[in-house]
Amino acid sequence: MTDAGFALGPSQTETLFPFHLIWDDDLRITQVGPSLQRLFPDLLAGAHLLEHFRIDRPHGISDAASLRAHPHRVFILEHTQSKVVLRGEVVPVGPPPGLAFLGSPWLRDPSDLAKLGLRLGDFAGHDATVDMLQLLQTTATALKDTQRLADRLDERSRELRQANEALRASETRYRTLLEQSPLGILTMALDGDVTFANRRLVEALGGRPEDVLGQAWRRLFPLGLADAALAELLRVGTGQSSLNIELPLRRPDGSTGWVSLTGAVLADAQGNPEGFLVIAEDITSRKDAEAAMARARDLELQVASRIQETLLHGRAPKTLPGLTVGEFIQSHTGVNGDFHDYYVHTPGVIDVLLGDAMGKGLPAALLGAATKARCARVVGRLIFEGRGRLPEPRDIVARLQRSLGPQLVAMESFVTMVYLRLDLTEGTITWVDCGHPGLLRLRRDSGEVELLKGDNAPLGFGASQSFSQEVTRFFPGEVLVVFSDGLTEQRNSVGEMFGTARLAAVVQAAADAPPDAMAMGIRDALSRFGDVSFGDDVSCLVLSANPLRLTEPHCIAETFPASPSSLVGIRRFVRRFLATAVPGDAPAEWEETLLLAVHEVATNVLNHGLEPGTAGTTLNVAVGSTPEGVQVLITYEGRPFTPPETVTLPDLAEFPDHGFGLGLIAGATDGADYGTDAEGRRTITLTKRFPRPASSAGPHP
Amino acid sequence: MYGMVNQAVESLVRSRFGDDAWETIKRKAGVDVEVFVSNHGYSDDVTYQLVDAASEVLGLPPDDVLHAFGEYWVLVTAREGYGHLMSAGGNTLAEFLTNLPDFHTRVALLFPDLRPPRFAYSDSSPDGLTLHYFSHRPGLAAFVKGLLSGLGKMYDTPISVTQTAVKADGADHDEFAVRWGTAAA
Repeated sequence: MTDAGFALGPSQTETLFPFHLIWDDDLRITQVGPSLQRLFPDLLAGAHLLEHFRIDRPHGISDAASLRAHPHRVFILEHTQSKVVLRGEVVPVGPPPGLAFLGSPWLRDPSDLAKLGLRLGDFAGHDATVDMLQLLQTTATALKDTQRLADRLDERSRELRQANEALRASETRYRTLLEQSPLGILTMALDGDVTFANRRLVEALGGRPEDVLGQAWRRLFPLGLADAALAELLRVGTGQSSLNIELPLRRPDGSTGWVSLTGAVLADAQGNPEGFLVIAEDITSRKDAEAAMARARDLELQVASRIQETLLHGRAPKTLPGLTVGEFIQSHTGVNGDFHDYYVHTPGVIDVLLGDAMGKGLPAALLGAATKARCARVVGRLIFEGRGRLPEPRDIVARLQRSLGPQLVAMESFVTMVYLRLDLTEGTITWVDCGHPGLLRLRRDSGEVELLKGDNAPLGFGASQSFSQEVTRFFPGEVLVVFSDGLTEQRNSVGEMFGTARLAAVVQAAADAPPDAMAMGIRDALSRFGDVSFGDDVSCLVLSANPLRLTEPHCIAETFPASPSSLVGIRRFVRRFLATAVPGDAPAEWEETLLLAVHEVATNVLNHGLEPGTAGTTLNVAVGSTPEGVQVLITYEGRPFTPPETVTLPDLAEFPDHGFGLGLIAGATDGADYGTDAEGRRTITLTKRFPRPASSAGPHP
Repeated sequence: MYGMVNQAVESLVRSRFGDDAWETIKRKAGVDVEVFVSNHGYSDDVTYQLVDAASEVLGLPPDDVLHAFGEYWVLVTAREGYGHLMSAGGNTLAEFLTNLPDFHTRVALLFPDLRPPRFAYSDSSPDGLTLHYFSHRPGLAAFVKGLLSGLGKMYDTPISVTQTAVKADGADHDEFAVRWGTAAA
C-alpha cells in the first residue's frame, strides 16, 4: 500500500472498516473484517474470493490485474450463497501485495439489520449506512404518515361525502317540506331581495315564481306597508323585536288579500345576520270571515237596536193625563237589556214598568223584550179575569214570576225590575221592587228627595210566588225618578260609583226643571262624572205629576155585577174619571153631588129596577166628559122606570118614605133621562154641567 | 418539537382514554391539527399546550403526564417508526444508551431545523452511567425520565433514574444518574 501512501495496522483497519476484505493477487482471501466475519462465518482466510463472491460491478473482473485497473470505482460484491450485497471500493494494499475491499453491506431497509443479525455497532462511525438507514426509516415513516394522513383524508372525505349526501337528503326533505307547506315561506337577503319563495307563497301573492324571486321585498306589497314590515324585520335582526304583522296585498290580477307575516333572522355560522326567513300565511279567508262577522255583528246590533226601539222601550203615551215624562236611555253596546213600558188604564191611573234583563247585547235585548211582552199579556189577562177590575201590582208581578220565572231559571238568567202604579186620582204610588235600585221621589212639601225601596228578589231568583208592594203618596208637583242600576253603578276613572246620593243631588238641583230637562241634566252629570263611555245600560225615567185636568172629550166604561157590593166600585170608578175631567177651579161639592146622584141611581136600579131572579146580571157604567160638563150613563136589563113629570126634593121635615132619591138626583144634576137603548136595555143618563161657561161642544157620553 | 412527540401524546391519550378525551384535550389546548407528521417540526407551544390540557383533562400532574409520554414514546411510538433501528441500537440497555447520542446526532444532521436535544454520557460502568441532556426546551426532564424508564422496559432491565443536575435550577444542563440491573434496585 506504499504506492497509495495508505497504511493502517490490522486493528485500525478492523475498527475503521469492520466489513473489509483483503485478498492477494491470486484472489486468495488473507483478512476478513470482524463484522463481515460475523455476517459470513464461513468466510475464512485462504479461501478464493470468487468462491464466495461474485463481482457484480465493475463488469469483466476476473483477476487482480483487472481489479487494479478500476481505481475509485464502486465495487459491488455479491455473496453468492446469501445474496448479500457489499458496496465499497477496492484499493491496493501491501506488502505483500494485495487488494482490500473497503465497504459495508448494502441495506435497503432498516429491517435488513435484523434479518442479517447486524447491530448499529457493527458499522464504523464514518459509515453512512446507518445514516442512510435512518434516512430510509425517516422516509418510510414519512410515507407511513402520509398514508395515515391519506387514510384520514379518505375517512374525512367519506364522512364529508356522507354528510353531503345527508345534507342533500335533508335539503331535499327541507325543500319538499317548504314546497308542501300550507304556509308561504320566503327567504330574503339583508337588502330585501327575495332569494327563495315556495309555491304557496307565490300562490298567495297571485304571481309567478319569477314575479317573486329576485324581487325587492317592498315590490311584493305595493300598498306601502312593506317598508314598515321591513323596518320590523331589521329590528328583528338586531334582536329588538319579532316580526308578527298582517299586511294587505294586491295581486297582479287586481284581486286583494291579506297575509300574516312572521319572521326570523337567518344567521351565518358566526351568528351574524345574513338574511331573513319570513313565513307568510294567507289569511284572506280569515279576514273575509272577520269582515263577514263584523257585518253580522253590525246587523245583529241593528236588529237589536230595532228591538230596543220597538220592543224594549215603550214610548211614553202622548197623552198621559196628569203626568209629564222625561227619559234617557243609554246602552252599553248599542243595545241593552233594559226595558220599560207604560200602561194607561184610565186617565190618571198609569202603570210603569222598568226592568233590566241580565247580560248584554242581543240575548239580553230579547230577554228584556220577552219580559216586557209577557208582562203586558199578564196585565191584560188579569184585567180580563177580573172582569175589568184593575189587578194590584203585586199580583201582576206574581203572575209574571209564575209565567216567566221557570224559563229564567232554565236559562240561568234573571230580570230585575220595578213595577209601579201611579194613581193620580188617589194621589198614590204603589210599587213592587224586584231587585231594583229603587225610586227617587222629589217631595212637594219639603223639597227633599226620598228613596223608595222594596225588598223582593229579581224574577228568576228562586221559586217565590208572592211579592210585596209598597204604597206612598204622590201629589201634583212631585217628581218620581225611575232608573236602572246602570245609572247609580256607573264608575268614574278611579272606580268610584255615581251612586244614589249623587243622583238625588242632581234631581234636587233640577227640581224646577221640566222632566225632560231633568233627564238630560242627569245624563250630563253622569257623563261628566264618568268622563268615559257608559259601562252599563242606563235607563232613567222622570215622571212629574201635574194637576189632573182634561181638556179633550173622552169617556170610559166599566161593567159591574148587579150587586150592592158594586156600589163602592161604581163610585170609585166615576170618581177616578172625574179627577181627570173636572176643571181644577170647580168646587169640591160639584164632584161630590154628582157622585151622590150616581150612587142614588145605582141604588135605585139595584133595589127596584131588576127583575126578580135575575142574579148574575150586570150594570154598565159609562162616564164621559166634554169641556162643558159630564154625563154618566147607567145601562141595565130590567124593568122600565118612568119618573114623574116633575121631581122635587120632598120636604124633609115631613119625613117622606119615598121620592127622596129622585129629588136628590134632580137636585144634584142638570138632568136625569130614563130610557131604553136599541137593544132594549134600560138606560139612565145623568148630566151635570161644569160650573163655569162651557164651550159650544155638546155632551158626549 | 418533533411531530413524533406529539404523536405520542395523541396515541397515548387515544389508546388509554379514548378519542373523545383526545378531542377534548385538543380543543382545550387550542390545537387544530388533524394528523401530526412524525418528522415535521411543530411549535414547542403545541406540545406544552397539549401536555397542560392533558394534565387538566386527565387529572394528572404535568410531570406524570410527561413521564407517561416518555415511556409511551419509547415503547410504542418510536418502535412503530424506528423499531428496527432501535432494536439494532444495542443488545443491552447499556449498549443502547451509549448509542443514544449518535441517534440524536444523526437526527440533527437529517433535520437541522428540528433542533433536537443532545445526549452525552459519562462515568460509564457495567451497572450505570451519567446521562447528560442538553436542550433549549425547558421542563422536559420528566419526559427524559419517562424515556429512560421505557428503555428499561424495552430491554427488560430494571433501571433507576435520578436527576442529579437541574437546568431549571441553574445547572448548565440536566443530568441523570442511570443505574440498571442489580444496581437499580
